Formats: sequence, structure tokens, C-alpha cells
Amino acid sequence: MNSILDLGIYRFNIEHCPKFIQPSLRLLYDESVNLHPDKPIDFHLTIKNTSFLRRFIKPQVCIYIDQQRPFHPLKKSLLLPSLEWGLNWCIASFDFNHLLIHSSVIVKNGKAIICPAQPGSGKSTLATYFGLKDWRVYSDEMAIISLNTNRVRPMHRPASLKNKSIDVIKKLVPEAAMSPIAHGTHKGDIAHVKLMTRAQYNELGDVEVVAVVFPKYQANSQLNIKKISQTDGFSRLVHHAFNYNVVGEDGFNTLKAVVDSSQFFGISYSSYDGLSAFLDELVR
Amino acid sequence: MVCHITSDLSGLVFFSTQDFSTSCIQFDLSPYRDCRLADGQIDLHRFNLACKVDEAISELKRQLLKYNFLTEQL
Repeated sequence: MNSILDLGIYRFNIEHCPKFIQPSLRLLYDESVNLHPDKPIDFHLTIKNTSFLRRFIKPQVCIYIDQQRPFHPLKKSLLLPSLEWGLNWCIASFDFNHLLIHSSVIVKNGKAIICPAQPGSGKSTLATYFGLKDWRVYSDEMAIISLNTNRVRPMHRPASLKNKSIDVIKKLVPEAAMSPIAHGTHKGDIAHVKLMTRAQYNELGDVEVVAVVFPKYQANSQLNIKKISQTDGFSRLVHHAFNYNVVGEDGFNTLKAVVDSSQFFGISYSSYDGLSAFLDELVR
Repeated sequence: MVCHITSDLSGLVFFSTQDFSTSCIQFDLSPYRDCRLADGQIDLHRFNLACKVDEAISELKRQLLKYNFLTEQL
């Protein structure tokens, strides 16, 4: 069966979307599943079995994106996280109408903080925790910034948690709506968390970036906050951008706008106590 | 080459419109805040004036010329 995922900015059609994945999509994407079936689609994904034999012996599936197969075949149980990575791949590879930065984005009081970081730094966990409190998460994976502005756009997507982060969020926010855990991906165990309903997403708009925080989770550490200059921050944002070298001068002008309106900090932390007050102060 | 001075005056960012390369140079420009125009561009006239009377920024200019971030027209 076909499923449409409407993320707000992008629309995906998933052909041959298996039945077993439908409950997770419904849980995570809410009414964004099969929303506006007549509207144009940005990306066409197809899920196929690898061979007739593989239907019975260690079943595998492949994800095709516009007839390309960018990923290796995978176990059926890993389809949901792979589908999520597929969506990321489509956006990062083909959206040249925005500047895309590898970063989570949290928003409060109509002001955005973007948190760029390498994988494993805790940016998704941080975004998930605050998104389940009184912040809105525009993305746990990439900041989507309108070109030549400092305004970031929201996407309706779940957050992706890895390994120990899953238990951290389960412990801190037991009521969080979470997908079944996919064990044994190349990044370890993965679970996805619903952060808002479609109705809540519909109330969101583009907002200005006021701060850039580079987070680093360090077990058993005190909260440590270090101010970073805008020049250093500019350099780091270039490093974290997916498509800066493609969008060219528009990308430079976008970063100029973001940097000039933002404060920059590097933080290390092991708990969210204190961090909450610090982030609140940035969007006051 | 496009030059931008950050609003906190912590340095200059150079962007090449040819190959899109970007170079960020940390330099405390707070004593020379007049060199920054409202849109972040460098005020060439004031920058050159500052270079005539201040050794630190003059040395910065020499380095920028040496590495082709600035041209002699400046």
C-alpha cells in the first residue's frame, strides 16, 4: 500500500509501505500520514523485497528513492530507522532552497536555538527532553533555514534516539510516545519519539535564530558553559552545514544573518538541571 | 572575495564567490568598530585610516594582502 508522509515543508510518497510499519508511522506522524493525498509529492520512495527467496529466509527489504538504491538491503525489523535516514538523505541531498545545518532546533517564545553537533554528542536527546517539556522541536536532525534570512522552518517529524538515550528519556519522561526499539542497526539500538501532534505543528511558523549552542554530553560532569565568538561560530557552522558549498553566496548570506543575530556557546553537561535555566535565558 | 565583519567585532569572514571557500579570521576589531558598516561590510576608508596609525591592524592588513584576502586597491 502507498503512504504519504507530509512533513510540512516536504512531502514523501512511500510505495509498498508494509503493513507492519503502519502503526509506528501513525504513532509518530499522527495526522501527517496520508494528509492531502492530492497535493504534489517531493520525493518518491519505494520499499521492495530483495528477492523471492529472501521473502522466506532472513527476509530483507530495500529502499529505493526515485529509482536509486542509496542504502544496502536491510532486515525488515530495521525498516523504520532506515526509512527515517532515507528521509534525511533525500532532504540533505536535494534541498537547495534552504541552508541545511546538521543540528537540532528548539524553539520557545518565538525564538530558536540551534544545537549543531557531531553524532553522539547528545543533541537529539537534548532536543527530545526539552521538546517533551515546554519547548517545540523544529527538528532533531537538521536546521532548515530560509536562504538570505536568519529564520528557521519547522518540520513535523519524530526525534530519533540511540542506545542509552532511549532509557534516559524513558526514565525522565515515562509518558513519552515511543516506537518499538530497532535493535542492531549500524548505529546501535534506535527508537523514535513523537514530539507533537499535527495540530500543534500547524500552529508553528518560521522563527529567528537567536543563539547557537554546541552541546556535548559528558557523563558525571558539571554544567560548563563557554562563550564562543561569532567568528569561531561562523567557522563551526560552515563545518556543520550539509549544502553550504552548493547554495554558494546565498549560503554565505544566510550564515551572515544567523551569526549576526546570535550568541554562541559551547556547553558540556551530564544532566538537564541548570541547562534549562540557561536555555530559558537565551530566549527570554 | 566578499568580506564580512561579525557584529561582535571578533573577526572577519572572507567568502570566495569563485569556489565558495570561506575563511574566518579571529581578530579583535572592537577598537576599530568604525570600520564596520551597518550591514557588516568593511568601511575601506576608515580601515585604511586605522592602518596608518595603528600597528596591529596594519599588520593584519599586511597578512590579508599576503594571503590574497584583500587586494591592493584597498
